[in-house]
Amino acid sequence: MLFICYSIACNGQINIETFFEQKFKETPVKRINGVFNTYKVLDKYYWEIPQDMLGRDFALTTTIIRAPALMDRNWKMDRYGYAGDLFGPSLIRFTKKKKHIYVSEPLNDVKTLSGSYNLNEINRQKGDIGIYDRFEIEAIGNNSFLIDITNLITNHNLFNVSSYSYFLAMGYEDKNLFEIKDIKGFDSNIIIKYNRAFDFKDIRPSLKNTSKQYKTNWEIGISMSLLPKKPLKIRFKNSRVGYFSDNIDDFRTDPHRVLKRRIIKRWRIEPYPSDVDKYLRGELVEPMKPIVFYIDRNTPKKWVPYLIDAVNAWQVAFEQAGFKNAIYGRLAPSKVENSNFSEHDPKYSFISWKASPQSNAYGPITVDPRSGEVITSHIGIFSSVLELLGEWYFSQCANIDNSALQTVIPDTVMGNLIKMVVSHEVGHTLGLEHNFIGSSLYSVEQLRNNSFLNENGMGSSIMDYMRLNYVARKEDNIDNYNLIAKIGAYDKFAIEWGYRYFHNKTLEQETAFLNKWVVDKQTDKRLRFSDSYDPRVQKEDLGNDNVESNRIVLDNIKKLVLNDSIWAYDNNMDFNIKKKRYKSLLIHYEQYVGHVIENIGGIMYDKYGSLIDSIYPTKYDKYEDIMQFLKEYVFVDLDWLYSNGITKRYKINGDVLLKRFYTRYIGEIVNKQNNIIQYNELKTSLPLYSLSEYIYDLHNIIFYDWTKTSKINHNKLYYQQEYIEMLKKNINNKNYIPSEILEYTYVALEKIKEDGRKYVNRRGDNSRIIDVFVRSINL
Amino acid sequence: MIYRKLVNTILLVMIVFLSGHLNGQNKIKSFKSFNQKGMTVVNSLFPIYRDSVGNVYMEITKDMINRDIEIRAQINRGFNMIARPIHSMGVVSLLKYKDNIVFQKKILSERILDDDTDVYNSFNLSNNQPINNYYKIEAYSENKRGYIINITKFLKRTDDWFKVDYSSVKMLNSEFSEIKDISSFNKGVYISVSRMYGYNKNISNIELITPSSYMPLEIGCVISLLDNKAKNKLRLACDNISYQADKFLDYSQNPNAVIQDSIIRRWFFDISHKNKKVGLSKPSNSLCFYVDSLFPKKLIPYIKMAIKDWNHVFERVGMKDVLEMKISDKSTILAEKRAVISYDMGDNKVSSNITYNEMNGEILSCRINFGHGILADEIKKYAIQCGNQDSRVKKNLFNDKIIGNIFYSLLLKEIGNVLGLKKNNNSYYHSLYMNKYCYFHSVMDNNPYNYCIREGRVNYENLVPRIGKIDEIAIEYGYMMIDNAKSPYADREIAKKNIESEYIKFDTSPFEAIYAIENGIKNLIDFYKDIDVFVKNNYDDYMRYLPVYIDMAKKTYFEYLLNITKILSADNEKVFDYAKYHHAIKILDKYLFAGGVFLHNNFIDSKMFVKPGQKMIKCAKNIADLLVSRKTIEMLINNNKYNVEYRKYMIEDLFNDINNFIFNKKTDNFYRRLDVQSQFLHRFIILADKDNVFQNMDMYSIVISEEIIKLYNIFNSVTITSKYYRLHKIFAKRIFDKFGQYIH
Repeated sequence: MLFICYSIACNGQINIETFFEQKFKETPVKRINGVFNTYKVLDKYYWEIPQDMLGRDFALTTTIIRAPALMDRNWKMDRYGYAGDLFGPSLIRFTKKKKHIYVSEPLNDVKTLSGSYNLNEINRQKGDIGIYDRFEIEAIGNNSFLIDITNLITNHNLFNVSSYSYFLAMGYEDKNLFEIKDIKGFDSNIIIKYNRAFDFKDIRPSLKNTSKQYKTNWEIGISMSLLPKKPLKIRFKNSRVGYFSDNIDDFRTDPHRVLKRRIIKRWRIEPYPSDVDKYLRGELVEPMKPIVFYIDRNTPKKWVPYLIDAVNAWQVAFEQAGFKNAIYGRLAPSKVENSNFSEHDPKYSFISWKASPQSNAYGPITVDPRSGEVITSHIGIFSSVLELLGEWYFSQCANIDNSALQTVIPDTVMGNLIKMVVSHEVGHTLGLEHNFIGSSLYSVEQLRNNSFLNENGMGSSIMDYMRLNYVARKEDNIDNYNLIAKIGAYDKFAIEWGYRYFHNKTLEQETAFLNKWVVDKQTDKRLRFSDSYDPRVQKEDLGNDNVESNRIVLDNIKKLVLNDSIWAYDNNMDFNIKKKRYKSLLIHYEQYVGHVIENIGGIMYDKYGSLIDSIYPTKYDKYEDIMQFLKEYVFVDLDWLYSNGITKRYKINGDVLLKRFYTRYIGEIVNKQNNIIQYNELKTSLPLYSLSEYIYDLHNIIFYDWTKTSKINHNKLYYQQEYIEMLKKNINNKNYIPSEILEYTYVALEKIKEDGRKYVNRRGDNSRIIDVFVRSINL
Repeated sequence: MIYRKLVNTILLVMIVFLSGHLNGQNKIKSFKSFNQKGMTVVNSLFPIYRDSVGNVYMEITKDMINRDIEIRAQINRGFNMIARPIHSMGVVSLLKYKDNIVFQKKILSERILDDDTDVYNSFNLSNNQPINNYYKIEAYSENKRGYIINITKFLKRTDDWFKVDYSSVKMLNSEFSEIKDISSFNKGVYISVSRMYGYNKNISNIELITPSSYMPLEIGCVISLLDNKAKNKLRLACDNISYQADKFLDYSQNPNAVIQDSIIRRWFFDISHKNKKVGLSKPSNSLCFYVDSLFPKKLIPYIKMAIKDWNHVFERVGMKDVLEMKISDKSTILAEKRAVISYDMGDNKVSSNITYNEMNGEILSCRINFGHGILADEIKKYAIQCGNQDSRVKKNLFNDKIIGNIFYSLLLKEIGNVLGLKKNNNSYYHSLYMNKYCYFHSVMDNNPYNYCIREGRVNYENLVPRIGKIDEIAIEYGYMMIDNAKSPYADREIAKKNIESEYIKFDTSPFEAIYAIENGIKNLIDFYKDIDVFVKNNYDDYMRYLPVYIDMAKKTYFEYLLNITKILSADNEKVFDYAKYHHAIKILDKYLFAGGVFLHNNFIDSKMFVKPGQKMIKCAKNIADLLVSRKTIEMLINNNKYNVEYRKYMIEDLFNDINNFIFNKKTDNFYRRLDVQSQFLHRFIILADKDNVFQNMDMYSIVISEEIIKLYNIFNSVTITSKYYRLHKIFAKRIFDKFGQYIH
């Protein structure tokens, strides 16, 4: 009898109620309502899948609710592994076939097909789903089907965090510690909370790999969220605007090949149907689904307003696209305020505050692969980013704002620095890529003019690594507000380009309009995007003249280093902060030298793809400035920076750092010969700086002291020797070196020999060592 | 006590049950006990039974024992593939061995073609064929007319009968396998199976471990009975006629020795004896190519053209309408068909496959598959090679006639391949034997498009490779009907004799190819002048394509130069004529040694800043590697041996040319010239070092060491006023650093 009943159940002939009665008798069945009803009885779980949910797509996202303690946090690599991290999505679809419900993977190769060559039909042969698993229908409800999902949600990788085990240093799972803590159902999603435990296993290539064996315990939340029936209309990427993008296949451009075209990632910002006319008339309207970032309640209270401001700052960009209140931040509700809120529910975008030695922040997005629509985002702010911000403010603004010298930067300043960082990350979550040309627009004069800054800011994009106004001087009386980077003209334009709503336009019409629009806008330099290799497109730079800007900041650094009063410390915390600030100054010094070197043989392109709109070489006249800069800041005794009271006080081996500095930058300067010969290939009427001039100018700077007889500083002897060795390597290099470089390397060595001999003949103070240098050159 | 008795009883029952069960397994069932309720059958030469739980059984009647069958399978649909062949069991002989049916796969690497030979018995005693695939007989068929075996696992789960080995198709999940359709046809039975395989996921992050999921792949499997009359129709291979063939050791050809010989693969077309005497006859088993119903319709006329052209070739052997074409419809089961042409989204290449009977070389089936994207690559190649000659290219590259013509040419080669002819993919050299009339000897070669025509009216249809004289002769050799041969050996001799008069001596002078390449370079330079206009006219997104074409043009330019060098350094029976060899070096000088890449386009030069790049240096290096190779140098040294009327190109001439054209002191394109010089010097140093030329006393070593010293002296004696002073000093230093001890 039992067997017969069970057979009936297996064939899905009985209703759900009867099924539970027959199979579990008196055992209570817990029902959780939601997009699917979930049933829990004993250790079994069931889903009742409504007929109308068959064929719909769901996104699975995994959020870490509680992350484990680690014995040895590999903090340089560990971006992930903190509470609030969100992974995914994986897409799944439920389909019914005969007696089974299939759990499938929708294959989202979005395609725009041409009619010729029958490609539509041929392409359909591939199929559009892959099967993960199948489940027998246990019972039927009113237009619904009951399946046993115990194995699916317990053991299947889809409902585990193990897909991300590479990033989370996970080994084998300890199933004994597995637990389903809670299941919640909502109208459009189901959230399952788990406890899971894994062996620690870090297979990432790193210096700090540990072989320690221990358990890591995780609390994770997995959400299965219903995706919109109608995917967001795709928008094709244009390489003049920097958006993150996905590939889709396109058969139109070339009917004989499947071309990969890029579609941008963006949120669904659309007006209510009732507001479309108003929108088209140019009135600001509210979008149906605004972007809301909830701020982690564990964020230190004093920073919360700044985080909210950082999100709200983007409103102005959306207003340019015709939407008001399209984006805003708010503190995450407490359990009392909203018991349904949880950070692992992807309905809520989230900014989490992570206690971590990482000094960084990141803005990832979870995207519907069908269309590029951003479903949710979990921005992560690592607590130690505050330390980095303090170091930046000290290194770049201490000569303007005394508060930068305080061991603890005042909250008002720090708050605005955090706002800058979070606004940048929010920009990423809106789909924007870095735009490193955004900081190279304005002259030093403009950057030192408060009224100009009020109107234009420091640059055109917060998506650049443009941090602080390091060219301003105290006497410029720049407002603190204007010392920090803000959303700029490019950012607003990019948002407008990506989010403007087009009513009743086909994809082709919309694409043609957007492409023309962005081309027309290129006359305004503020609206340009660049990802080319170009001296203007550098990280952490500022202003349209690296030499002029960086002289100012390097002189400021020198003042800070030489101001002994800054470097005294009172206690351990003071010691640590100041030691790091000193190291930060060194990093800044090297970075600013690097910016200037990039201008040697520099070619600046305004280009689209591989086609150049215009091309400019570094101006001939500029080389005098560049060489003078190298003379003052590179080929000079730098003991004041690397071997001084600070290094002694803080027990830093400055000599090693100094040698590393010379070796690195002399190498870069010698390698710039390649850039110069390429740059001389340019077809231009402008005068071009030749390789011969470069070699002679370098020689005159590096070996200037050989024209005299006085004792040569030991650092100078070091970099002279380094330079000679690098030239010798070129001569003896068996690999291909362009003949022009070979010839001028020979010339350079001849000249060194000649001047060295003269120095020796004049019996200069360093005759012996110079003689060794000369003799080592075997031509 | 009661408890113990109960346990003993249960154990006893279990033992009886299990032993009965095992015995039952070993025992061949009667048809009655096999044919339980729910069993269905599809009657065919091999009746197929299906039970209610999804098992599938095959009946082999007693009259099938000792007959040969073919098991072959194809992908019907799935994973972006249509009618793609898969590796299958192939031809096997049906045998009965104890309670098993054997599908014997014979080992045919050693054979006796003539039974009337002394070693016949002794050969057979050491050539026992394997019992390699044997399947337990499950039941007797009705009235004991044959045997029934269970074939479920071969269809659903294992790779024994067929194996899907496409890289895009991953692991099988047999849990989902399902038999879809079983039907009979005149030669056997067709079974389609849906199997689920893992697939490549489109994931950018390789560190992500994604859950496995599976997609359906529909496989069509055909079991067909082979004609046992065809066993003795084999034809042996002949030198010079390039067929796909199977090698074997023959014990009957020479009574005193074993000879390695080969059997060619070809279709067995039957002409009735009566028809042979009345001019052209259609074979009774002509080959119909079924074109998949989804094949792009625009290309269908070109399939007809290609088939017509091959049919024309078959007229040489008295046959007409040997090949036919039909477009399949929904009711057509392509897997059953002998010849299929399809187009899909699989690999972007064209491929063709055959199945054949290794016993006699008979081709049993073929598939020609076009992957989407192949035409895109070919069109680009055509544009670069023929853009200057075909005026349509600049205006409309995607002209249906251009595309059709290219497709037609590709298909000609693939049809040739499924007719048994061998693709000559490595024949860059052979393909260079184009003279100024651009005659293609064989469509089976790896031919370029006709890049060399420069003058006169161009017939566009002749810009693509077509069937050549060699192909015609090959078909004649392979397919001529010979009835009166006493043995396969005699058959070969008759076939050979028939083509002897046709076999023309082709002009194999490589210099024709050098002139052709010279024209190709000129055409390319001319085309490049307008390449921007060409791309703008043909592509909406021209910025994406212009760099692609620039890159292709540069690559082709350097390939042309390299091909000239390959001819100069290849083994050639002819002694090189000084005037021609010297001319070839002059071409290299004009287009490379003189320090230039002579592709110029105003738009590109002003708007794109295309850097000379490493390609030119790489080309110079490759040319140096070939021209200053041991092989080339020894070849030129050996020229001394030959007496010819014309002036020979000698090793001294090569060094003179190298010194005059490469190591000269011209000052135009100064640094580019020096870049080429440094590549040649580097090559000399490597060669001399590797072969230890300063210590060996053979002619080659003497010649090279003298040349190195000569070069050293040239470089070292450079005067300080020379523009070359410093670089030649560096070059001299490089030689001295390596061989200073030998230089006085």
